[in-house]
Amino acid sequence: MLRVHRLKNGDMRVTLDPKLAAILRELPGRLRRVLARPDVTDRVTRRLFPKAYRDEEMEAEYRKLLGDDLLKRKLDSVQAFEHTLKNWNASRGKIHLNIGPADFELWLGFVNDMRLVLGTELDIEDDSWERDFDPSHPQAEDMALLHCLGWLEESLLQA
Amino acid sequence: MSKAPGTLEKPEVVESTETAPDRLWNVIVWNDPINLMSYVTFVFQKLFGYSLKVATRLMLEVHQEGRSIVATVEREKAEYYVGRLHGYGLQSTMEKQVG
Repeated sequence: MLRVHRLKNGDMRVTLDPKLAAILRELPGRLRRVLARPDVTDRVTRRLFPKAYRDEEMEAEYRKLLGDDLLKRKLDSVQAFEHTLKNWNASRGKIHLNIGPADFELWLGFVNDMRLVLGTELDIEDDSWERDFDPSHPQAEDMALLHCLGWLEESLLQA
Repeated sequence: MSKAPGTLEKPEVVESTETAPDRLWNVIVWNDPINLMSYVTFVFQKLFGYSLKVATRLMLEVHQEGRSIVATVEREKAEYYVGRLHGYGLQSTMEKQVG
């Protein structure tokens, strides 16, 4: 169970099952591990840090200028997500998370980055993966997680 | 219904009369099967200030054609946009405008 709605004060409230909250709590560590070992030969790293230029020289110059801005932004997103999950409250068997307006984009960024990591690891190349979902697939758990995060992201955007 | 203040009804393109055309760069967004269509539209609205109509048209162009030029601006600004688009997790590159 997962529901997102906007409160009168502008915050977003995410309501979910404790089981799903426990799964989400594992995600910041997973993204941190990817970000801690940026390796250009790794396709997940390449997906999170794409090239701006086709020309190698221009790209190297651009990277130099950019420094670690992009990495910093991604780590800020991890932190915002982690912070919200630590400050949960529970009622009637459900977990409630509040996302303030200042954290909204960071939160959305985290959910999207996590989807990029999962989608790249799962070799998603077109939209058929959701239609042809096979529960016996060795990576079915990650596929379900990717689907669930897509639902969360869509709900955040529509709320 | 009134539109949000400051929204743009067409993609940002610097006119060549203002800037020498050989100094302009296209900011390109590439299709990918993971990003949600609603998310891509949200990013275009947020980053460029495009109206929902323009943002949706560009998103559909990305989805159907595989890529879309989302802005044509000077190099420094193009680098800024590409960096922000990468921050949002979109696949974006920049190319010197031809012609």
